[in-house]
Amino acid sequence: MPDYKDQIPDYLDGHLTAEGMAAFNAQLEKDAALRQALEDYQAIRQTLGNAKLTEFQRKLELAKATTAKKKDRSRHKWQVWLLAILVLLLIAAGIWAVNTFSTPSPEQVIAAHFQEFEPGYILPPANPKRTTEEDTVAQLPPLSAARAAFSEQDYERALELMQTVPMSERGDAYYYERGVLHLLVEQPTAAVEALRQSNSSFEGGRYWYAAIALLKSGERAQGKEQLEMLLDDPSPIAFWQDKAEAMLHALE
Amino acid sequence: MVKLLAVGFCNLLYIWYARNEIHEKTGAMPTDDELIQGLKVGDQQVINYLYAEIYPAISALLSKYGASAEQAEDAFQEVLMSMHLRLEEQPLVLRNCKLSSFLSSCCLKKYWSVARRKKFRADQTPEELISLADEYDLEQTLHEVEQYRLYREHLKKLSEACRKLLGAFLIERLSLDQVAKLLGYTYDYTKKKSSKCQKRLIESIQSDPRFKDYKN
Repeated sequence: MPDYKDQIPDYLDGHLTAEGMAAFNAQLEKDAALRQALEDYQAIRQTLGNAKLTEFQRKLELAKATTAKKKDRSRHKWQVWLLAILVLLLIAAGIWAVNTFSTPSPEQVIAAHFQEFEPGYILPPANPKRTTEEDTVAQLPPLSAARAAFSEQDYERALELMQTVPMSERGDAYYYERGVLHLLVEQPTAAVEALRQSNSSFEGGRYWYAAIALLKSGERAQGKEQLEMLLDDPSPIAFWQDKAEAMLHALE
Repeated sequence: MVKLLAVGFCNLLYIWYARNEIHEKTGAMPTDDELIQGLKVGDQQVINYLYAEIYPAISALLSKYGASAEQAEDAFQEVLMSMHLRLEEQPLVLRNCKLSSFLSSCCLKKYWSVARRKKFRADQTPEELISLADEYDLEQTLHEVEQYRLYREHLKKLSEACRKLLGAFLIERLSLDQVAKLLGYTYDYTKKKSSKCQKRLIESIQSDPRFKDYKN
């Protein structure tokens, strides 16, 4: 007896002979299981052949692929942004590193010092000040008049007045202040001379200005010596010490 | 100099970004009616739009209720397919919600039926969310789509030769003669092979417990 179930596809596709078809139909009438199997075949074939669903399924797959591509592009966009941010960060880090780690030259250290220079670094706190233009020479003694001009940042005038101070009044402070004034008017050699005559360290300040004067005069080794003496001095203040360290670093 | 370069670089970046944004936003947003009409006729642009703009939210909602990405996508595709079939028979008029909410509700309902059937852990039934889907009867077409996808799934499991043959014969509905020419077989061999492959496919489908569920 033939297996009628195996014949279902041929039956549905009309591939059975006339006798085979008749036999199958006869079997179909008495075999409920065969009828059920035939129904299953028909239902499955009909559903799979649903052209509308097949077409729509294709479109869904296409939409899925399109969305995935779009997502990829969007991810790519973020990668570009990330890269741009990284480049910016690198530029910023580069600027910071250059500013932080680059060693300034001795000239730059000196220039930076004089850019922020104030007469208060040098002059005693109780420095007398003239109140009118006329009282400068007439009413004040020469040293006080010089200091007044110094505090007013009239350095050339202050230097002129310094030179009129009697020898008897010229002490450590006088030579210190005069040395600095020479430096301020770009006379480094005279500054070296004046500063050598001052015996006080002025908390390290005198070494500092002597070092600058020597460096400006081309005496690099002696300038360095002054800086080292500043650091060895038992009573320098941190202000001068920091400057000396920065200059030594620059000289290296 | 460096600052100037940095500012210039930032400006270029901004211009590039703005141009991209404008380019992406120039397409007008379709209305719900346009989307429904597009779904009915199977407009590729509308399907793309639904996939790109609405599916992500639906996927997120379903995953909140325990669905995997695959389950969410299956639910979304099946709901769209069943709507495509159903809209030809009955127009959809949304009174109380937007299409996106309605689709979310349908997908959640669809997923929920699967979750229950597979005894997924479900702490709470999202009744309120599901209720939106009740405004439009998708049951019958959804059933049809589920069967279609189940059969396609089993077709994919067959050998490559059977897949190609049945794909051309049952899905593309080519004649056996055309299939034979397409695959480079003789007619007699194609007939025999088709019969065998169909048998394998039907057996594979019948062995799937979901087949019995769908039949009932």
